[in-house]
Amino acid sequence: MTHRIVRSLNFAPWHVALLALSMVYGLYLRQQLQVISHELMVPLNMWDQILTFLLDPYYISYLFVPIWLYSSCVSIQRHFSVPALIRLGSYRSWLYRSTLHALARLIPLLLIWLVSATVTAAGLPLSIDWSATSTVGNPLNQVLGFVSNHGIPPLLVLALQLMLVGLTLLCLHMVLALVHLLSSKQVVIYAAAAALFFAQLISFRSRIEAAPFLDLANFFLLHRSFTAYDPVALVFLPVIAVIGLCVAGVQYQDRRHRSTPLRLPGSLSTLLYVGLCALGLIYALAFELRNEVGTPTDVLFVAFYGVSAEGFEWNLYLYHSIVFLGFAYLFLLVLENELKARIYYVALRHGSPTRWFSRFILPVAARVPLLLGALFAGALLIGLAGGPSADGNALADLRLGQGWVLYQFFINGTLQVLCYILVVFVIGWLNGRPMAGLFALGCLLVAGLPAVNSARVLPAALNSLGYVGLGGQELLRITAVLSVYCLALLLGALLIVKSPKLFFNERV
Amino acid sequence: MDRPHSLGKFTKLLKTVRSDLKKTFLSWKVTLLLLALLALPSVYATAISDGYALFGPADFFTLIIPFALPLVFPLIAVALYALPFSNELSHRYIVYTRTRSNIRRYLTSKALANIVVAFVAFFLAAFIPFLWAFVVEPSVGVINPYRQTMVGLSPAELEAYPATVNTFSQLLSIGPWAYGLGYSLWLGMNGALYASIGFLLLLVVPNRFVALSIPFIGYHIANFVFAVLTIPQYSPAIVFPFNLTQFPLWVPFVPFTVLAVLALSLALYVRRRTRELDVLL
Repeated sequence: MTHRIVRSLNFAPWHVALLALSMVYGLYLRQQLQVISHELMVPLNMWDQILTFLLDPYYISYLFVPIWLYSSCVSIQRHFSVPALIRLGSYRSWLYRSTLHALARLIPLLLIWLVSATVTAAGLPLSIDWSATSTVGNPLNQVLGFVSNHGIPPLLVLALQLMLVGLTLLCLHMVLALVHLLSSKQVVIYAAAAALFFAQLISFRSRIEAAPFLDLANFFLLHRSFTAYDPVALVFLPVIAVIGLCVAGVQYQDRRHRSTPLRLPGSLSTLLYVGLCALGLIYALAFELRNEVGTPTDVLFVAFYGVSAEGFEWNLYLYHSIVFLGFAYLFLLVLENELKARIYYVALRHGSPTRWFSRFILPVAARVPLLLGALFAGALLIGLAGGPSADGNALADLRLGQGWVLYQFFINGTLQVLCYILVVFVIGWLNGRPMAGLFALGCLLVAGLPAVNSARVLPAALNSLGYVGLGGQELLRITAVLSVYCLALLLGALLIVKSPKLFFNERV
Repeated sequence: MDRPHSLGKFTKLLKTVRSDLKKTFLSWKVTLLLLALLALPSVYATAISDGYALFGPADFFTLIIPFALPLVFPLIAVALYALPFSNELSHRYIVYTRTRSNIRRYLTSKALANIVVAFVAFFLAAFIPFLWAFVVEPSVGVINPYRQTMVGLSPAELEAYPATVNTFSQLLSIGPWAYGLGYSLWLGMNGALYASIGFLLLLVVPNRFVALSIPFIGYHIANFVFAVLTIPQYSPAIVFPFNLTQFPLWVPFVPFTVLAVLALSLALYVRRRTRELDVLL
């Protein structure tokens, strides 16, 4: 269904009109830029035009936002029908579908914006860096002068601005959709849209410094976000929070209208888990690194430092455990479901216990690299928010080489989490109660302490980036140790699954 | 007229608790095993004490305690009594019990037994190391002599120094026994609190595994969040205050009070809805 909606990104005739209007406005902006550059007597480049256009408050507040709000209202009313609700089954799925439709509307609009900004920049010198004009701090050139001061390349500013506007617009769409769900009256949704429009107009004119999350303009203009949020990545948090509230509101609506609510098991715990992961990354940047980033992997290195051969810091070890042992705990919650004596039917349905096992464990195992990839991407993204480090390279003495950091994080990380999962599976299954798995996690938590695991032979917290300082040889040895454990545990798990006596263990 | 009646009820309750504990904990084998387990950290710390420059029994005491206990403390608290009790729930023992006895009184006696077991276990977990560090070891003299000097401190200041190191070491200025008993009481109270929360959650949350894991998971999540907020003194981990500087004695009671209020409201909820609780049906 997703790809069908995305495929239906068709350009309506009014898009052409919008493009023409944008072009005219872009040319007007370019003329003004030329005047500024002439007065300051410094050359322009393409980024001046593109970013001036993308950060222009008048274009956003008088053209882009009203068009979006109006089209959102129309789209929500068109797609909100009883047959659609019956087909989709719940208000929540309706909201997701409506948001997908909104995404399909959003992409052409953003493309028009970007294309008109780029086309009107034609003829200006190409470059990947800021121009001389934009780095001059001058009242004539306030916005670019301010943004270029943050040490972020212009391409990234462009990406961040588009992401921010896109996410905010989707968020507004979800708010309107929720309003429609709760009231289902035409006048209410249009009134809400009008209120949002005026709120953003007022907010563009005067900022609310005491409560930056109430200031709508902070979520449309990157230079406003830079002043309101430090690090700037925090600006995404309120938007994501509002999106979360919308989803929660729809869930509530679903529950109110249903005698037996459809609930995803563990969705709350997953949400909490993701939130804690993000919190740890932000903590690593803001408190451990003091917002100073030397190389892109600094945030990753500090956040997943875990333990080292010398000792451990409580907060870092706690975060390391929450992320990796927490993943095993989420697995345990799924396993708990299987342990509830339904296994006879499950094994019958899958043909054989071994096939059930492979279908049960493989999706989880496949999620481990995904988790690590997501954490890596998150660390990079959050690292972008930090400024350059004072001494160029805050962690130079601790680091052996970026390659080994990535090796330890991805290869040993995958093996380590697989070990955790298999330990939980084997112990939980042999005992028949999920609590045994939790005790295993508790033991692993203690076993990860460098005082206990000084020889580094217990499969706990061996993927700590603190061990990178020991050198490549040691990391390879850790890989070998973890591989041996993984194989042994896998063998154990297969033996359990193959033996009917152990597999159909009488359990509570 | 009412008084002897309620007193009689109370003694009856205590009798139930005692007989309940007798079945599991008050046998010689279990007691000896538990004592041996509790003495293990002292032995271990004595063995590794050569590598540390300790400045007194109080310092030695902190070397014994914070080894691994802070990481798994709520898990142990729940495992002592609430875990065996959860088996009663899953084996539907209670369903048959409630036909022949008052379910509310039954649960109260179980909750009391839970509190007693957890309190005694954690009290001893701190009190045995205290006895070892302050009473037995000085008279036996197994470990290296304590250091007599410290850079920047005069002998008089060194005398007063141990009382300024951690939260609760203020009690050392009253006397070592005040410190030992005070901290052991504190640990016992916290153990009882976490065990009670686990026990009550078992009655409220339909999923027994989730109920028993909440104290452990919640403890670590709260510790992390409070560390991120840079107010670790208000995190639940202040039960073991040894890796932080000294705070006034009321500070650790802030998270304790919050958790106690939580436990009390859970208890009130269970008490008011005992007859409708799904897990007991």
